[in-house]
Amino acid sequence: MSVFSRKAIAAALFITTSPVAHAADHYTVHEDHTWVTFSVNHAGWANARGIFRNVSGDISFDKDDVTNSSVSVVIKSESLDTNSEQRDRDMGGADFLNIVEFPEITFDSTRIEQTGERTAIVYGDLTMIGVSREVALDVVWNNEMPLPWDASTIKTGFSATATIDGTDFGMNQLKAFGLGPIVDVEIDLEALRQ
Amino acid sequence: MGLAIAAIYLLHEGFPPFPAITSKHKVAYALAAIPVLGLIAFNQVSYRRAALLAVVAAVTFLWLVLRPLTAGRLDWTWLLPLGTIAVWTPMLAKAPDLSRSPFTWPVAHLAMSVTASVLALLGGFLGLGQVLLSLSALLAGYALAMFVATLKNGSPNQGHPMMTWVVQGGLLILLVQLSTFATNLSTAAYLLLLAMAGLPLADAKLSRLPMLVQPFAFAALAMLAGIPAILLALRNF
Repeated sequence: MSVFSRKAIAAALFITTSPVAHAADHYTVHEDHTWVTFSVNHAGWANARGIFRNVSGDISFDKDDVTNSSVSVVIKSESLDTNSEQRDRDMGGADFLNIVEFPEITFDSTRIEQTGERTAIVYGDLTMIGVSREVALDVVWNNEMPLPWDASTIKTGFSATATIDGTDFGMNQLKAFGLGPIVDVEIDLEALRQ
Repeated sequence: MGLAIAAIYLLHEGFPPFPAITSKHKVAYALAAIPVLGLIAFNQVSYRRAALLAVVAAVTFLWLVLRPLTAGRLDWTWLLPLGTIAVWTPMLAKAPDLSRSPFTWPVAHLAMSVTASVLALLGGFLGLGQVLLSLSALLAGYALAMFVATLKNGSPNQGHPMMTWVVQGGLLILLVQLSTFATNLSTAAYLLLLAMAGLPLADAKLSRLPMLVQPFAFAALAMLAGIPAILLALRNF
């Protein structure tokens, strides 16, 4: 083996085995491919479900050290859809989401705890109806790959679940009307690398 | 009475944080301020009392819509709360001249509170609907006590004008909240509710009726606007 070949192999091994510090990648939430849904027990009969159709946000994702990642999401409250226009109006009223005064729900991560190869708990401040509370999201990183028809566009995807208590945010009427007040949140989110 | 109204609100909506965050919290503080301001208004002439209430209601309205207003969002439906203040203030200024019957104002308040509670419930403001129902129960109890006193003595004790002022103030604040934030409020129904504020104008004629008949006459007259208002709200539901 020539000296040149030995150097080339050594260089290749170095590149593939040495720890390389990646900067975090930045992503924008792909609104059309994001589902922020929730379910809340309705007087024991069934789980009432809803979805927020207008969700935007930014993600900074450091795959080498997930704890350096961050996420910031904005949900338009008025985009709520519970499969009934009347109920949507009611839920948007001052008793519940109070859309007139608080048109946005925001989530800003504060710290991340890695729990597995592709799982983490993302802690953050959920701000809704003027009240901020810490919420823990159980997050799974599903996949990242280029779009099949556009190799230059990289998409990544996550699934997450959380549980919140509506009364923590001042929605005291939930219990009075047989709703929850515990709300199970499910999020499926795709984001495009910038 | 003013403290009772504030207590009803707090029992339903909980104790507000300080400083207030949402409009519900702001309304709690506004209601609590009414009996306190009553101490200032106590010795004032009626038009000054009415003006004070108008200022309180207008400031409360601006406070309630401060967030959307500062975000540059205006809503034409805000004309309803402003109209409520505009209609209510002159009525209150004339209160001493429209109190020949002791039942004029209690029945007017009760009728408006009952109608407003139905409009709130059907208008998607469930919490406020409950508050107004409880207020209706309080006002009904007061009217009933007056009626029983009439049965016993032939005539009830006419309450102090400040009683009317305080109830009027509480009801006005709640109507401002209703017309600003009810998501499915029927505008036509609400305008009929506002028309009920004119009920005391019938005071001169209805006070000539026998005392025991007067509360029923006022209630029947109020329902001429109240029942269509409720029907319109049902249609809008």
